[in-house]
Amino acid sequence: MRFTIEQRLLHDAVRSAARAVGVRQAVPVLSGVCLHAAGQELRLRATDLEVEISLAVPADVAEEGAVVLPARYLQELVRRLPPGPLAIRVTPTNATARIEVDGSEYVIHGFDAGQFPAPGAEGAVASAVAIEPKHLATVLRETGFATGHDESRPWFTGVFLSLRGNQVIALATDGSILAYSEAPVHNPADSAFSVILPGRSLQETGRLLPEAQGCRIGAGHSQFQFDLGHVSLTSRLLEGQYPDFRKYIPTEFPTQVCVGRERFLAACERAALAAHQSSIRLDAGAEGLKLTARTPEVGEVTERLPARVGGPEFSVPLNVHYVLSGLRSLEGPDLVLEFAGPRTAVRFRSSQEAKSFFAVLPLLSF
Amino acid sequence: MDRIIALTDANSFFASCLQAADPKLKGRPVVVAGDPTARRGVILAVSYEARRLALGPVRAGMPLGQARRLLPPEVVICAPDHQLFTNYSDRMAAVLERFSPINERASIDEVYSDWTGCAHLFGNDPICMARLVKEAIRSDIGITVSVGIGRSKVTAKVAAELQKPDGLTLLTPESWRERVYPLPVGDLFGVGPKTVPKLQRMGIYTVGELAEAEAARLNRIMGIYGPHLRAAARGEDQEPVRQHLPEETKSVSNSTTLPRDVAGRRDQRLVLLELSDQVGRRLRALGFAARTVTLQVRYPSFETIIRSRTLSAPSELTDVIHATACQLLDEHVPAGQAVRLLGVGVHNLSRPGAVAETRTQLTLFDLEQRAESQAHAPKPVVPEAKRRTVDQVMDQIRERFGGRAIMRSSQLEHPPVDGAKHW
Repeated sequence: MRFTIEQRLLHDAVRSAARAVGVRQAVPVLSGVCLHAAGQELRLRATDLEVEISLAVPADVAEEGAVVLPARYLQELVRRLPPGPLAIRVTPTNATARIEVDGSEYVIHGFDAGQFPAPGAEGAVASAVAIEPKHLATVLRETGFATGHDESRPWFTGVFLSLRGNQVIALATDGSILAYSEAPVHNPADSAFSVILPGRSLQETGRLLPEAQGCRIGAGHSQFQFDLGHVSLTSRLLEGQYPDFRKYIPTEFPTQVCVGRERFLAACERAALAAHQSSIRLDAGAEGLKLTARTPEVGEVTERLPARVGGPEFSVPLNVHYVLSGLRSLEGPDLVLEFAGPRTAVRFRSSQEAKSFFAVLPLLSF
Repeated sequence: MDRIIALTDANSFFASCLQAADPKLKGRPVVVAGDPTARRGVILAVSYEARRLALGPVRAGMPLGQARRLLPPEVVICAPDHQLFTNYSDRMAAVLERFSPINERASIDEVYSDWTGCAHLFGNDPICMARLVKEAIRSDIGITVSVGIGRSKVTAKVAAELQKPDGLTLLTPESWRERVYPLPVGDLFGVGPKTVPKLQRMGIYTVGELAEAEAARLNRIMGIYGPHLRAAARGEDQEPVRQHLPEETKSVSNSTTLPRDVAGRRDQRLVLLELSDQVGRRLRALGFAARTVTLQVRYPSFETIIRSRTLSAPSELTDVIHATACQLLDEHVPAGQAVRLLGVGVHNLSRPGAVAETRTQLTLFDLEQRAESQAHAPKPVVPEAKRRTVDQVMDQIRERFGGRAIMRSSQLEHPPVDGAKHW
């Protein structure tokens, strides 16, 4: 196996693929990136068996072949090499790669490509639909933060993604905060799917999206694929039926409060400093919105914000960290807070028209 | 600023109390012994008059028989009167409260006081203040005390030991060095018979040598106790005078051993109602609500189980306590199992309406459960406010007319224990 490739291209490709490499890898070969030189391109693949990232870059291939090289070392080494073409030669018998640059030589000991898992069956992904990368990025941002860590309820660790007609919806919750988002898709074949994706797959997809020119998504029997043109990410699905927690979020909110988002966010950040057990209290009334937090041995914060309050006044204790994580996922100058009762979720949206929201269940106080 | 710590130590306290209470004993040699009639009685206190007349040292803890041989025949041997001693101890503490609000009763006859913040009220002169204290205790309750003053509890304690009875010693850092450094290290409060040989093996025989010991070496041999020992030897320990505050009620419980073992679930529930009723009444009288309900069950085999459940919100209602106790009973005691004792308790108390210090996060599962319970159990429940009123009215009636003036009808229909015939 012999090929020549631009240092810059190789570095960016290895960095993208290496996102799929797990932090603590039990199987040694999975700590590597599989390089496959064929035709006039070099294909790179990495996986932790949950997420697989695959991409191809142009290369001058003199002799076809494949090898697995340790992702970390390869990336760090290539990053430090001077720009320009790198000549890479792999001895298949001992899976060792040699890079020659300006008379210097670097050797990387790798693994036989035969040990690496076969590529995720891309054909298994049924008819994919097109979605604007920026729309997908918004959906992921607006829901990804709300996933939980409770492995005993696997659906809490994932995001529910459902395609119906020309719309895809996403739902995530950890049990106390719930986030919902939706986006238009181009779906001429009228495909449909409902899947639960691991939070990490979406996180990695989100990182790859800024460079994507287009995006197609499709679900297979046990896999889901994000095809971003230059790179594709294949994710395992989480099993199970996603409970429709939306039914616990009221549809009617008698009280609506409009407030500046940045201002409210800053106030929450200050209140969080004095929040005992993350508890802050929101009071909405004729004078606007009031935020209070108190820790007996630390101090107190009282924030008064101008706000338009429609409907009956309310007072509700909330976990400030839930509110903050949600607020950071929203964009735009405004924020609409909606309140329906003392023991139901408080809903947050970026405007009266916005379909996306996050809802935080209150703290129970005695 | 250095602290001003005083230790007020009553001299041969038990004997002094008896002498103060009984003028006939004043000025006479008095010995307080565990049980004067039994030869095995042990000396608890020796008045200073008795000590002066004794042929040898007579100390607390000595068997009475042995002490008798040393004491003059006219010695009066008294039995202890602990109620009297406690009363005098309280009075001594009360006098000290007049001088400083921060007092720690280290034992029945010793009180540490922190005078740092109030010395200026008494001319900024601790000696003068101590004289006032001694005089107040003498005139008010008729006993003499020794007062030791220093900048820490250890220095105050050592100072009080330096001169007794009726002593008054102030140890400044200079006089500490002068008077205490030469003392054997074992005289230091906190250095016991186990520690002395260890220190001696290090070549430390006096307090001064301990104070000047190389810290690293001391810590190596004495471990975490090392820095504390060294600070004590220097009279620099930072131990605060700890005020004892009246303890808050933490739990309320009632239990009853049944006249005979009861196996019927219905009867067991009635017993729990009786107990819940009593617990609820006490809880309400204290002005608390409880978040955790505990059920105690003892089987005829004497095996005892305690099971508890935390409520989603605190309650002070008899009904809630009873319902929770019954739930626990159903879950943990098999039907038909006889029980010997039943108990109901509540803890995790809070003042209803007080600002919550602990809050719990509501989850979707709570909502799900609520939705389910609403769907499956449409049984109308008496609103909490009404049940609260029932409890309040019952409490008022019982307050006025006695505990059995009014009760729940279920408590009437079946005397709980007599009904236990199934077993």
